[in-house]
Amino acid sequence: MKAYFYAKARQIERHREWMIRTFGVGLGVATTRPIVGMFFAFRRMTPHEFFGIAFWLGFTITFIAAEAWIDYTRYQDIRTARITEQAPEHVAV
Amino acid sequence: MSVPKRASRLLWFAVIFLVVIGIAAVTRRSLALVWPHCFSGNAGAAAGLDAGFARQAALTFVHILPGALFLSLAPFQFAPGFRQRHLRLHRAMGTGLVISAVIIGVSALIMSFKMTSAAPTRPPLLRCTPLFF
Repeated sequence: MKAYFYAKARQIERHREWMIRTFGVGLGVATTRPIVGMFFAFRRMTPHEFFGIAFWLGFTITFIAAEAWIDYTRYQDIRTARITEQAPEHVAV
Repeated sequence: MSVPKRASRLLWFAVIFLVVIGIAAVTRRSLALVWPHCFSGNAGAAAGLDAGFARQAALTFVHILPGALFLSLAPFQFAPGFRQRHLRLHRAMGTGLVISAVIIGVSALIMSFKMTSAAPTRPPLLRCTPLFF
């Protein structure tokens, strides 16, 4: 919802970040599948015991990955902006 | 936004891999709900899970079909080429994705309370998952 409102307000950078977060959470459901598969393979716990853990792990992993990507791209943007600012000085020297 | 090509490729690979897993899960669940005698698990934990979803078949479909739509359409929203060429479609799809995300969230919340197969040993933890995310 926040992503949608930011798009309406034409705050595209914020919109992009919230869409990445939303999609990160959306992909969490796919991440839980291999985790559930691993729990099934090791058979140390019953499905009733590991389902909650697998869901929290799956959603949290992709959520953290999305946050990391947002942070990384923000840093790249700042670095590019700095390089562009410094470039004319280097050319002059 | 400037990102190294390798990082971007790696991310796209991971996203497509997860989208394929998600759509495969939706397909398998749909088949198990429509033709339980062919696609449901016969014994063990898988059979218990399938039976749990079968008891709430309508609710499960309300949850997983928008989920499949969300997973298959959302990656296009992030493709710069698609966004630049089809801005109107990008906006229309965005509205559709918001609607499907709301349906997914609300149905997940209802499912977590209605479906007993979902980890009865730790209900508070699992039940607050949709609320948290």
